Amino acid sequence: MSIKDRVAIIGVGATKFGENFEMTYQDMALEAVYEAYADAGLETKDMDAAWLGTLSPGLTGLEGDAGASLAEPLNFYPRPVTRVSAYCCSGMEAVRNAAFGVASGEYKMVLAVGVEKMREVPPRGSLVARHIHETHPVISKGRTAPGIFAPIATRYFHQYGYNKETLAKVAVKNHYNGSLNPKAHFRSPITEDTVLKAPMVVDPLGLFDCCPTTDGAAAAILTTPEIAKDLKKDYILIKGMGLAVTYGYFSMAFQEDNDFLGFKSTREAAATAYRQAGIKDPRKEIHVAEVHDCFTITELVNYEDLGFCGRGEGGKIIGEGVTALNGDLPVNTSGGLKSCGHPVGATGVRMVADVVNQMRGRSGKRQVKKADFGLTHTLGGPGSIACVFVLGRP
Amino acid sequence: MTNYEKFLKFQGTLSNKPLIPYSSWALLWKEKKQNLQLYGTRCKKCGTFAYPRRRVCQKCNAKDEYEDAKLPRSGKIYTFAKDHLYPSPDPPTVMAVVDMDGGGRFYGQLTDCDPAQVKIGMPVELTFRRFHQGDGFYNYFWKLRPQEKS
Repeated sequence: MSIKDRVAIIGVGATKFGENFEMTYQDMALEAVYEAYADAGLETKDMDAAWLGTLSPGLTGLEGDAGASLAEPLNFYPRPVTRVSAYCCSGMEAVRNAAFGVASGEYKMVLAVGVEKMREVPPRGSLVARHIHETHPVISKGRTAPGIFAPIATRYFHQYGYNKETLAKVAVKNHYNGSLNPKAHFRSPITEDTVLKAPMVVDPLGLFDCCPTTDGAAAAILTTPEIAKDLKKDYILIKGMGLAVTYGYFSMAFQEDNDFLGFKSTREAAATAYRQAGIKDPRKEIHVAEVHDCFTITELVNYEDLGFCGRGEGGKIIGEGVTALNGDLPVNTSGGLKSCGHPVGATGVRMVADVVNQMRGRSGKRQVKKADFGLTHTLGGPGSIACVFVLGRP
Repeated sequence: MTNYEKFLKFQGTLSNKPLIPYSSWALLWKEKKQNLQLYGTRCKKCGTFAYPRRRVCQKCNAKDEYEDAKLPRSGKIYTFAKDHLYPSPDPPTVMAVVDMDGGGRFYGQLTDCDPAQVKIGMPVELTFRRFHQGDGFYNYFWKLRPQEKS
């Protein structure tokens, strides 16, 4: 039996994304959850369990290393809270596991929350720096987060003849969308010229090809479709969800079948989610999507891996405006990781919240015309894990 | 002076304090065959080669049915990137993905080479180098360099 139509999302919330120096980890968790409570007209006493996605408790006094970091600010005791972690898929893993909690019949009403506080450490303590000096002593030496994705851009250019200007179009689109999103980390529209003149981080990726590190939290409330209907709430159904783990962390770049033109994990996770949801032609059947644009090149290969276009056509459809806010298939209407920001554990839950709001017509200036089917996608580690959700109107 | 980052470092504006990367005696000993002697594994059932080493074959799933097999020392660059973020006295650090001649793939630092000259398809070879110090010893591993013309 598949997950299709067995779980409803009846409330979502998120903090503003950015440098939230005025809020602790627990404050952010609380703000996101109470916004979701207000959306659903529910409170803690209505909840049976929760899942918490956080990648790195080491960035914030070990907050987020167990479910207690969510239970404490909510006074959620003594209910079960499970902390999950799966690189940048941590947030969507919280939603996925919460959905299984409901679908199993064990719980009627659950919370899925993602939280990450990344900005209160000096650069040497950042996730980026820790990635450099705390990983495998020799096999990983020379690697950085953007450094893992930049070789994909090099190969993509070589294979298909695209260039840095193609990548710049992704940054310009997502910054424009972010400028309309009151909760986005970066709210300034930019031009292709800004992107192309920015300093190189890992050539061919410049500063504006990279997403920021961000503070933020997001929450979603999940229940059965029957309860959602009884509560007379404007709810959204989970139509399909797939998680795929296709390589190890350090060995992925050594694998000969890795073509550095896309991600097998995304293709596998999407195949599962599409099969469950009955999606045959994603380009036509999906109306709005949030995808993992940690770097501009990632968004282009995601289009291809998710079946929004053929292999090698990602650079073509961004140029044609297909994925722009007013295009046929708007992608990252929030501004994406690039402009909305990327608090790792929060991102997947935030994507679900954004797509749910698009499908309920609550996205303000960013509202797309038609959104009966929506998609969210996160990609973790060097691309060795991916999670894809298909959401639908009842 | 070839770049601004170097200028800032020499001037003392950017910290020259070294990071203290993770080192481990236990790992050094455990992974000696792989990291120092370049031994990967070859499945005795189906012949599939793996580097880094694998106990379960990634093609036929045979467990602990492998023999040691060396990663070839030369190959051609499949893709690469020039990293200005990775701490180095001489940025950028060029990282290259290399398809080895005769099978296997390596991903690591390219050295002894002008970053502007790096191209997909360029012939390179492995060279044994000293890496960072930590825990009272030096780490050693392999880097890539352009193949010497014979």
